[in-house]
Amino acid sequence: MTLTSGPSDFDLHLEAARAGDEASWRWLFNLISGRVMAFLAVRGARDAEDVAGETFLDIVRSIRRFSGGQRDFVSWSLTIAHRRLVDSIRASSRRREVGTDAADLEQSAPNDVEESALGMVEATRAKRLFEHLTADQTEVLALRIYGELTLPEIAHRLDKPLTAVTSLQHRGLQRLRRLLTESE
Amino acid sequence: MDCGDANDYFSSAYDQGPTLAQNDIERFIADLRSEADAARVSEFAEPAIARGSRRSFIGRLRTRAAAVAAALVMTFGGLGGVAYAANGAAPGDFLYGLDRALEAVGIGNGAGDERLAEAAELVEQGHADHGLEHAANIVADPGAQAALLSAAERIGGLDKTDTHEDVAAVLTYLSENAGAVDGAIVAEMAGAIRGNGVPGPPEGVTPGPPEGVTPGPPEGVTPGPPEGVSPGPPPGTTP
Repeated sequence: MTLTSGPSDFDLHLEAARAGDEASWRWLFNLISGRVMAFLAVRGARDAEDVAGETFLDIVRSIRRFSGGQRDFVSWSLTIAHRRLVDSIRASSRRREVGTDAADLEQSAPNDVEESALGMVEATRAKRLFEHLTADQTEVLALRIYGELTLPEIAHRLDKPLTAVTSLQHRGLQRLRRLLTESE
Repeated sequence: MDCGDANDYFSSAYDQGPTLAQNDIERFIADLRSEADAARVSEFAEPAIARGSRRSFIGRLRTRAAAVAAALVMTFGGLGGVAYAANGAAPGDFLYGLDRALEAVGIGNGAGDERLAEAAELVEQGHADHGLEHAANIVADPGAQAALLSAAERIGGLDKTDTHEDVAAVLTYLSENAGAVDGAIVAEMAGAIRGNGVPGPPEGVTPGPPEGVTPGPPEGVTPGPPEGVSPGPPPGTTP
């Protein structure tokens, strides 16, 4: 009998987390929590902390429905973040239509507090750059960067044709390239 | 439209080894990812972690077994017959009655499984000799026991790959044949463990207790988990 490569660290932690092992949950969240926070930041999410919290709970609740390897887990987690963000945007735009609370209508101040709380220099810089892209372009690029989804996966997720998301990626990258060159 | 070039920016460590950033976009993306990956677990994940860790009584038993199984599988890539390892509870603990009930119906090899997981940990930490000594405690056959102990002596502090593999083979056999261990096979495998420049016994020698030694547990050794060793994901596993 010889040593075999056997299941990966990820496979074992996934199984232990499913059984309720706290250390394994921390290991799994170590893979994705930074990416979820940065993803929400670069997409300019208003209630990033709430959306992040809901995303993480959703991941725990849905873990039995997940199957795949480490890379799949990263993509899966980021698509959950995307969906919770979409829900949050819909909810806040509904609130604005109904006009319930004047406070909701106020433009939030340039997010200095949130940015320092995030503690991610590059993501904060990226957020400012993405403000120059359209929301659609940002949506595609953020999923590509942090979730590492393929374009067909993104097309499916966003319920858009593949040509549309490819074009969004292309235009978004062109814009970014110009901005990066200008900022140096 | 050729989106091949654009797709190259997004290739990741999962696709291939780290690539040299050739331009601003690649560097931009790589920096964003590595920054996010270096971040500590977000405080906003704590409620979710607590939720994921809260488990029922039966769930706690499964966690124990999962940890034991994980330690074995990670070291040896093979596993057989590990069920609930719900021992470690003392009389008066809530789990105690269930422990005894499970042992009575033969669910799980109880102490044996946990002992093997601990032995595996010791081997993994570079103490193959202690691992063998630990495993010797659960082997009933005196000849096999003595062979394991003399193998431990023979390898001393050695931690070569060959030794590691030979020891792994014995522990895997013990785990896969829990309850039906053939002492002669264990003794043979123990004898074949390659040690510190001293080869295993030459062919034709039947392993057995050395002369003058009374088979039985070594004096002063109480079978039980060594202090500080607990089954679980091996230390040093980094995400």
